[in-house]
Amino acid sequence: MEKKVQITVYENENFKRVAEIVKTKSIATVCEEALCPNIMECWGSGTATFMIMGSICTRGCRFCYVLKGKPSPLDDKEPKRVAEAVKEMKLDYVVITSVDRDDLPDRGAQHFVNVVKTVKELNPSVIVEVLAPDFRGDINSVKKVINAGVDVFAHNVETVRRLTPIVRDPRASYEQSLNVLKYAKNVIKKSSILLGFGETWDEIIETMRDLRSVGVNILVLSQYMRPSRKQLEVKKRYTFEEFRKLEEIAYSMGFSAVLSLPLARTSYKAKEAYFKAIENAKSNSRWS
Amino acid sequence: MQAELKIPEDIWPRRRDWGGEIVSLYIKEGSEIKIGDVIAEVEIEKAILKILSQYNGKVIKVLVKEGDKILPGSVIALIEV
Repeated sequence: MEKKVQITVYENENFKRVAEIVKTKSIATVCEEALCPNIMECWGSGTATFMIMGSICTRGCRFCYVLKGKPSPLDDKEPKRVAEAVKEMKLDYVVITSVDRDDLPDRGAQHFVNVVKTVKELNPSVIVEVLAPDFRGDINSVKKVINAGVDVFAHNVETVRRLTPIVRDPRASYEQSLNVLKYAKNVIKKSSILLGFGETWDEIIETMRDLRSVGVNILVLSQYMRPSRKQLEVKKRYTFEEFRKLEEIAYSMGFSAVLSLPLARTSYKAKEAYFKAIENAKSNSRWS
Repeated sequence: MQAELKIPEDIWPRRRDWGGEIVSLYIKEGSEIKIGDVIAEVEIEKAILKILSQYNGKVIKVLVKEGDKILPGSVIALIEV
């Protein structure tokens, strides 16, 4: 099997500045909660992916390092704090994700709306990407969040159909995620597949095809890296060559932007992927 | 002045519930190190962390060896800066 990836640990001034801002504003980031291997690079370039609605998730997906349990009540000051952090960090592109909030009647959709709207009010030119939960398949929640002013709507299918019941929480499903993406309209759509859970090559291709069939424009393929012994083990580490091949196949299927790298993560180089998608869509006159 | 070479605590500032094992150690007592030199490689479940020196100085005492378990903030060596 391929070796584990290497992460060089350094802290530059940008890293310290981002760390200070998110700490002062009491904002959780998925960069920290998921032990993201790219934190040095992203924070070092002055960006971060905010995680709203607390740092405790109601679901127990078996690949994920985010803490599970009973979350705290929503904080109605959070939208303002996130908006202020975006301003202080001088971000022109921000990714906002969240934990799952199955404990709330609307699974947190209104709070998501409040955050997006407040971010845009305080930062009128910022481009907003959300990496949203499935809201238990409630399409009205999906539409409501998108209508708050979202530019890119990401929702991850995470794995292939066969492995979904093993990899994801029982409240998630492959079809439900495809439906969420299918009914997300008037927005650029994005989804990620983590590789290394034991899926076959054909299953990866089938999943890519399924994502394309529901209109996903930006595809991210990345290597699953086990965060601790509590999560699923890594069945396979893919080579750069395999990632390159998958990227080629994805472009041939019509995706507008593809990020296919071992260390790619949904929000990694999100701004670049967005502009690539826009550019390719213009030249292909193909959008869905 | 003496300083401690440590495994950084704040790689993921809100999460310090990780740990690992020193798989390679690149310093020895008496050696000179510079800011940015790789001083150790630590294997955690997720990846291999290459730990860089944050100081220029001379290694006085090495406190760990390859195979040792470490946590965020573990002291690797004492140096004269």
